[in-house]
Amino acid sequence: MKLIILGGFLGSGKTSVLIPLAKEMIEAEGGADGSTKVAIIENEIGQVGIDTAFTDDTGLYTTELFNGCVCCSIAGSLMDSLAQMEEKMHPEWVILETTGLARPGDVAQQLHEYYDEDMNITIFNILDSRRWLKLVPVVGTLIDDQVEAADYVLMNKIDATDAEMLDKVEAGVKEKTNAKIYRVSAVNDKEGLAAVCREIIAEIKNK
Amino acid sequence: MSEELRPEEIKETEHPADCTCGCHDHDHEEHGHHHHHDHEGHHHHHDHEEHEHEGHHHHDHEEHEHHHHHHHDDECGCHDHHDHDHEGHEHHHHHHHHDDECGCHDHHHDHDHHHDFHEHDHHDHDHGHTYEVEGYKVVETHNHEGATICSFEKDLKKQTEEVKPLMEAAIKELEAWLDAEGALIGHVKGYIREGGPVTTFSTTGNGLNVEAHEGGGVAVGFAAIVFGPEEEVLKDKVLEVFKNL
Repeated sequence: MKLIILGGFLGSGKTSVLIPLAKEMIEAEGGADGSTKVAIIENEIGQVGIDTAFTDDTGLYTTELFNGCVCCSIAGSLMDSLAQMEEKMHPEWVILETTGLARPGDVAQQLHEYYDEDMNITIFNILDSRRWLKLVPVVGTLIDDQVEAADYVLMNKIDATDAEMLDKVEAGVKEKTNAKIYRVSAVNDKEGLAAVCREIIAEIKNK
Repeated sequence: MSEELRPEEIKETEHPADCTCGCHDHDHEEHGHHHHHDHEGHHHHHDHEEHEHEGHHHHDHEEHEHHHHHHHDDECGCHDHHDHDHEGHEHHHHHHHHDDECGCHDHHHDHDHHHDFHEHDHHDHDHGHTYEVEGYKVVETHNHEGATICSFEKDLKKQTEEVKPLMEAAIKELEAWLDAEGALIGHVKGYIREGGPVTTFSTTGNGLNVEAHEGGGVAVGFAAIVFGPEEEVLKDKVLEVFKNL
């Protein structure tokens, strides 16, 4: 089982990336027959699940973890969910969409420490290119942690800002991580995002 | 806030049996849930007294911590060393804005549109409060990583087209208020979900009963994750802007 931790600050577009990513995984696993090989865990910080309103119609096996963050307060629930998924459906892929306040590096560390030290974990960081630089002085520690832990950084909402800003953001990100960086617009360039997802999925499969 | 939304009752959210939050890993765990609220590295523009609850944590300068939600009958002594007067405060949910006079948030609402709040400790969180509000299935607030979260869910005997402009107006009003307060909007989001027809099947051994239910109405969900406002303040504002829903 390969776990994708989909991280990134609040409002960065994680849910908008999640669905295309899951679709590409299903394709990579043989099309419709692969639908049972992809599962989703939605973690939401509040008691009310908003993002699950988007994922409910995907037909994918989805587990919801509400009212806490899997990197700390409900880490145990995450491990329980993973164990149940492994037992019931043996998925090839599990996508964990974290809350925007989570530190995916901590999630991965806990899973390696307490769940499976050999677990194949890949961390995505989705960032909002339009406001990332504005967030740095305000919630810098958190978003730095999120970026630093990433294997792949998807600079999202590139159509909502200009090339100069994008270059600055990318330069800032490169100071924090050696992760592979992609520029995407999850909402307005779905084919571009799909191509990025395919490339990354192929890389992970060939690891 | 409109009168019809009251009364509300604040409830402590229980720790789940498998809670791994680590809240109890440190001192005096015999006192039950003592949620913490660390202020680290914040950007206060003024000096203030350090107030530390001895025996809990150490911090260096211009920092203060509050450990909340002690039981009334606790004798932990954690408040014995306050430099400031918490006269009349209760040990239940004293999230600064109650009776505290620490002054640590006095500078928050300076309306200069810079985000005047501070990042909190890694994994700083509480288990929140739920409120019983007439007409709502769920209203809850809590803190995490310095953010204040307020979410609600309610069912309405209305159609999407009727609810949509109300949602838009309410969220815009909240957005404007947050901006005026100098708060940082992490993410404010919601949904309207239509309840379609439902067919139910039931038997107790004497034949199958199949019923078609028309459905109708919508479910509305909402969550605001913001930096700046206190829980109660945010909750009151959210309920106020959605009063026409």
